[in-house]
Amino acid sequence: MPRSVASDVFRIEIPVPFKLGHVNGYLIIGCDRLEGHRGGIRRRPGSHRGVDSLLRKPCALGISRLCGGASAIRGRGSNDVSVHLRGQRMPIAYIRRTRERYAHYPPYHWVINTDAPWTPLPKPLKDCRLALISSGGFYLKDHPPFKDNDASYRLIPKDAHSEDLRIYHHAYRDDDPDRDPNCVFPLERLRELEATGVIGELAGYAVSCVTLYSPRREIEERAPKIIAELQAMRVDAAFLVPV
Amino acid sequence: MSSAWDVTLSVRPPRAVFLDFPLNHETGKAGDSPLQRRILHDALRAFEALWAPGQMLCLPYVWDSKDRTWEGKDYGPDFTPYGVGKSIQEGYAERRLRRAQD
Repeated sequence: MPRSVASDVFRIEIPVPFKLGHVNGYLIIGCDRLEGHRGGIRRRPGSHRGVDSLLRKPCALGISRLCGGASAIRGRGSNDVSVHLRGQRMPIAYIRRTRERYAHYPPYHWVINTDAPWTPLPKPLKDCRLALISSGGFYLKDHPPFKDNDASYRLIPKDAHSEDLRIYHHAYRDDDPDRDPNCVFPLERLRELEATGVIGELAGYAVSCVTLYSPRREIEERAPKIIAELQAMRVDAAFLVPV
Repeated sequence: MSSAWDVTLSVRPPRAVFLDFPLNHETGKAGDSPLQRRILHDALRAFEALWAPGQMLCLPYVWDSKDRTWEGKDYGPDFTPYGVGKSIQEGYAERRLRRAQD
C-alpha cells in the first residue's frame, strides 16, 4: 500500500450549505461570512500564548492546508462539495455510518438547521461565569440513575469528586469516560482553568443528561428547564460536550 | 465540542469546536490531563475567536499519528457500543465507575 495517496476525492455529505476557510492557518468551517473577514483572529493582550502559536501553525486536520488553494475545493459554498486531499483523509462521516448501521430501521431524522443563533460574549472569557453541560449521562452516586431516552437532567456541583460520579448511558462506549470522566466531562480541568484565571468562574453546577431521540422533546421539555437553571446561576456562557 | 463534524454542522450551534478524536473523547484522552487541559484551553478560545454564527473551529490534535485504524472502526460495522443491550436486559442497572468499585 502506498504510504500516501497522491490525490483523493471525498464527497462531504452535509445537508446544509457550508464554506471552508482559514484564518492564520486555523481551519474554520461553516460560516456564511467567512470570505468577508479580513482581520484575522483577534489576539487579546495576555491571551494564552500556546494557542496564539497554534494559530500560526497549519491545522493538522488535513483540509486546512488545502483551504489556501481554492482549486482544491470544488463547488465551494454548496452542500455538495468535493475536496481533493493529498495523503489526507476526511474526518469520519457519522451521519452516513449511522445510516448504514441502522439501515433496517426507519431513517433517523437528523436535526438540520440552516442558520445558527448568536449572542455575543458579553465580556472577556476571563470575566465570564461558564457552565459545563454534558450529554454523557453523569450523575452523583446518590442521584437516581438515568433511563433510556430520559428527558430529565442532573445538577452536579462544581466541586464534585470524580469518585462520586456515575454514568448511565445507553448508547455510547463509556469505558474511557468510566476510567477518567474528564475525557467527556472535564469538570476537574475546568476547575483548574478557573483557578488559573482562564475563565472567570465555573458555574455552581454542571448540567448532565442523556440522549433524547426526539429533538422536539429536547426543545419543548428539557431545554427550557436547563436554560432556566443556567439563568438562575447567572451564567454568561455554556460549554456543551455532547457525546 | 464535537468529534462528529457532519452532525454538528447540521445542527449548527452558534460556536463549535471540532476535535478529530474517536467519539466519547471530545475533551481528550482518558488519563492524559495535560492534553485535556490544552484541548480545553484551545477550545475555549472559540468564545472569543469565532466571529459569526455557525462557525466551527478545528483543533489540530491527532489521536494517533502512527495508527489511524480507529477511523475505520469508530461507529463502523464492527463497532459495539459498550453496554447497549446488556444494560437494557439488566433493567438499566446502575453502571459504576471502575475506580469507584476498587
